Amino acid sequence: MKSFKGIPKSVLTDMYTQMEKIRQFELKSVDLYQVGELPGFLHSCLGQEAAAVGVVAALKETDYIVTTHRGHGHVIAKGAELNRMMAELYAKEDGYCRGKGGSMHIMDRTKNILGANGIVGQGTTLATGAGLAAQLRGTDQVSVAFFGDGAQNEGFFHESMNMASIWNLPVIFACENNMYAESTCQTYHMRPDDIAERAKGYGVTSYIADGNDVIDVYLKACEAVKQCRNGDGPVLIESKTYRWLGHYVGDPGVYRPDGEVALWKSDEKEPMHQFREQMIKNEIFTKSELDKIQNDVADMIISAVEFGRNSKPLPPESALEDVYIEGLL
Amino acid sequence: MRTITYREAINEALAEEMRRDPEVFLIGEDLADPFGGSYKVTKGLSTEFGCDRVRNTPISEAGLAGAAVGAAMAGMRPVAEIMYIDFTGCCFDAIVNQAAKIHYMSGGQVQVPVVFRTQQGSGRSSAAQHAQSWEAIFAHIPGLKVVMPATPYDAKGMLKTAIRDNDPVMFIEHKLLYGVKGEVPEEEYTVPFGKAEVRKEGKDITLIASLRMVDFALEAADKLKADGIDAEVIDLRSIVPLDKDTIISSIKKTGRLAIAQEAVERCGFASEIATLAMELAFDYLDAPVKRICATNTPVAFAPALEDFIIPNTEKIYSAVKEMF
Amino acid sequence: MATILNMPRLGLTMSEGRVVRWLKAEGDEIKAGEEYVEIESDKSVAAHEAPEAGFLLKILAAEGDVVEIYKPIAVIGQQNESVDEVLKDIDAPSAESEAKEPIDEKQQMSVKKDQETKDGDRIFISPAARRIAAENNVNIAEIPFPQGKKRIEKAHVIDYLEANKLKVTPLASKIAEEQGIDLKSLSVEPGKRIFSKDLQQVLQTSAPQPARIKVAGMRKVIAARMKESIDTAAHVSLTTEVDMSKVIEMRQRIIDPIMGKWDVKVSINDIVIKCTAFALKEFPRINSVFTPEEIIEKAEINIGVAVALQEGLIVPVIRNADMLSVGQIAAVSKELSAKAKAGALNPDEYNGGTFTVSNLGMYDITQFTSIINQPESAILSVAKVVERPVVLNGEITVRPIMNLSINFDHRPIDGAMAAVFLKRVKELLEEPYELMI
Repeated sequence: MKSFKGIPKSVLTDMYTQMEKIRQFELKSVDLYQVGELPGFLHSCLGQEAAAVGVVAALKETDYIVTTHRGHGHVIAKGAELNRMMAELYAKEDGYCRGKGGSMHIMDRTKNILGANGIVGQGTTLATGAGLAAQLRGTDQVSVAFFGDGAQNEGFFHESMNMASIWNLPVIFACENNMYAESTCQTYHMRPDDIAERAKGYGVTSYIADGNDVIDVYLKACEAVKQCRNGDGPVLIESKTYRWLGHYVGDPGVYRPDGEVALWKSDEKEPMHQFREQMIKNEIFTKSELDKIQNDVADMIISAVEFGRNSKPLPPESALEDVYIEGLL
Repeated sequence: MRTITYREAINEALAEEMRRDPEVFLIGEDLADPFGGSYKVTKGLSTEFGCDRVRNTPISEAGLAGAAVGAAMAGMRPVAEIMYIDFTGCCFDAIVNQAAKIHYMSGGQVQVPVVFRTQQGSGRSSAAQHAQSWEAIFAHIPGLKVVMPATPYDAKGMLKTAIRDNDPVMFIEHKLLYGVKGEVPEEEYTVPFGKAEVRKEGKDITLIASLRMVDFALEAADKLKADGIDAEVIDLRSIVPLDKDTIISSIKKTGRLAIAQEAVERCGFASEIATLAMELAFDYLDAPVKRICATNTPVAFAPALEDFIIPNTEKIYSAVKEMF
Repeated sequence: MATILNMPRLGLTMSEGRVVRWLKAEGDEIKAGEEYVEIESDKSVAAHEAPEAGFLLKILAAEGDVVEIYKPIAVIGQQNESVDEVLKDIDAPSAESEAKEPIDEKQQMSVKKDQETKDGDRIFISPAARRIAAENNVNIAEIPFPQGKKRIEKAHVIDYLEANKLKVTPLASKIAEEQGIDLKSLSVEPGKRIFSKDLQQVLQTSAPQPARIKVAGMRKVIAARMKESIDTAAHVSLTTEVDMSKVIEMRQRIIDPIMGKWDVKVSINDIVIKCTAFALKEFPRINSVFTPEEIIEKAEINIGVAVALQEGLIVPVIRNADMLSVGQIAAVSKELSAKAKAGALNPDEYNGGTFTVSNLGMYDITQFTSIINQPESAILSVAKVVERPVVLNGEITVRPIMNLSINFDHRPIDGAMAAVFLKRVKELLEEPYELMI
């Protein structure tokens, strides 16, 4: 069984498949959005695939994740079905949230995806709560909060870090530092260079990872998970990464200096390319193996789009359902 | 039947539910022994259930409320205490954007069986930031249930119902009711949501109140008897869901409606009830609906000013008399 | 100076008191503090002490009267002092209570001057009151506005309905139901009970009403004339039977020629007129006018033929009927009749008649009498021709028989003459060839 840095090929296969799914899903949904097929907002995570996959690959199915408005990557990596995701983006009946959530609120309870959240930073408290639940139950479950560099300035982050730290909650605070909080760059919105510094203030372990190197992220995430399962959590992981598109699809990103996007999209920095190069060079995968995965994913995406398009539209009165468990009050 | 205090009734409800269901736990500030909560409601509980299940938090309303929601989403049944309803300002997001909406936004996939216990009201010169009454604000958020028990009996019965309810519940107590005594059975019982209680029957006017206003309304009703006015006093106790049937049948019987409300007049819950009366019992109204509410001001510190601001028996009495 | 003594307020909740007994009479002296009257309040009877000394000048409230507190019950003052001045200024209750009665109920309920009862057309009334009013078909504007209130309330509408409810005795109610009388249609004083006698007028006026026609024009004239005739002439009636077989036969013979010449269908009546005119020549007395001084036997024989109109009758006159042939008589008769029915007769077409013939045969009348057409002295009543069994030469046979009656005035004409005249007409009708002689 081939392996790379101790990571079995099976895991690597999964990781690459997930990254391809994210990449292609994001590309496709951006296209659909720009031609007007999808209503609402879209916050694309193109360019951040490795940061997402690296952490989630270290988790078990029973572990929880909570993510943000830019959460397609995390939920796909955790096993969310592309079909149902696409149907949700299309606001159709077969969507995960039956049209009630949309892109920013994708949830799949069966995969312990406690949802994407539209309130920046609030996911940290929810994930902390999930970690508290695990602790009370006495399970070895881990809870991961994904958030960006902007979120970690919210009070939510600090309160939950503090509470998680005093209680040793099994919570991984997985920060994807893509250098921008909407239009405000990191060098403006905080003093330290690294978000990982924050952890010191709470007496919490931290890691800094190359967010575009899925292997690096994965290995560090595994460490964090081990620590949490041991009851020595929480842990803060900062993955340095970059988003290709603006804050939302349609944001021209005028706040970013010329050439920066191109730099991060270049082969040296771009996560998919890095991985493929590494795998091929180390003879873990052949090109055709990787291409096959890519093509298989392409088919999945096409089916997902079909599924989304053909899914039944929602009856408007369904707006009144699910307010309370017993119906409307 | 034995009589216990409102505080003791709540304490019993928490203890009994925690014994009954291991998923129930408490989270909030200063809950554990020996302090036992800022209004001493949780005294004895950490001793019985341990400091994990009666979990003290740092002063972090946002964090603790959010954590309670997260824990509920992950399958537990947390009862989070927000010391003063005024502090819900700090964790407003967790309540209104998270707890209230996650079931809906997830298309019914994820439930949030959290109870936010808090207390409101004035009368001890606690001043503007510690004396407000905010039930209307939470009643305005679809997805939340809002209850306000006025008696020890209701406090215990409704808290049990709240804890067992799979929807998020705002359980609003009153700081001046904690010491009030009332009859509470020893046996197991619950009080359902959505049922108002007619505290006193009458035929001349429907007088509606919640929490501390219920006692004032009953006193006013007593005074009104001497004036030949037979008031029917209804204790709402459940705001969302609301017992419209009891309210409307009463109005149809009496033809007059007055609502005593400790909260500020403007956009208070009394406005909702007055509108319902107009919508559902218009042809039975013999006089305009009257609201006896706090003035549209913050609550002042000085006792004399506080008395001026907040409704009381005399104000309710005079207001009702004017309606005849 | 005379002063008023008022009904005292003997208790906190007392609003009025009753004068039970005057302990002093008018003219008596009262010492200060002396008991002068017994008052009953809602609590008890107590004697009241005079607030000042003086003489009881006038008692204003009699024993048994109920007076509001602070209202006058007596006048006290110096002995024999006049009370007029002091009485002028007050509303003495018993003195003027009669004058005030009866109190208009509406006035009692009248609103204070500045009380708002409506805004333009919009009366202030509660939704509940409005509903009760609508359910009972009450016009809101009729409901007396409650004094001191901001709006009409449900109770006020209910009170109004009660006050205006119809009070009916059981008997009246039963009759009304049986006869289908709407009690609300009766004009009864509000609040007064309806008795069965009140229903009588309704029942009467609800029987089938006769038609009422004004007596005017022709009707008036006919009425006067007929009565006058009856009153003046000594009416006698004679009847004979006429075998009309020869007339009928003759008529058959002449019907077509007459039609050809005179463009008229000759009738039995035309032949009767011819015979009558012929007979009148022989009996001038029948063709006369009676006055107290003289009987005027007319020179012309102008036979009036009664024509029935829609309303009334008129008698156009065939002048000199004795000189006309049957055909001529038929033609003139037809013309006059048409004109009569069209109301187009000239005065000389209906004046100057000397004898009248009235024929009711077409109405199946077999015998009748007529009233003499003044100032004539006789009138012939021609009845229907009826096939009858008769005895001729001891044998029963069927002949067309017509009853002919004459009504004559016995003042100028005696019965025998009238009889002979009638017989002569009969003869002519039974043997029409005699007209040729």
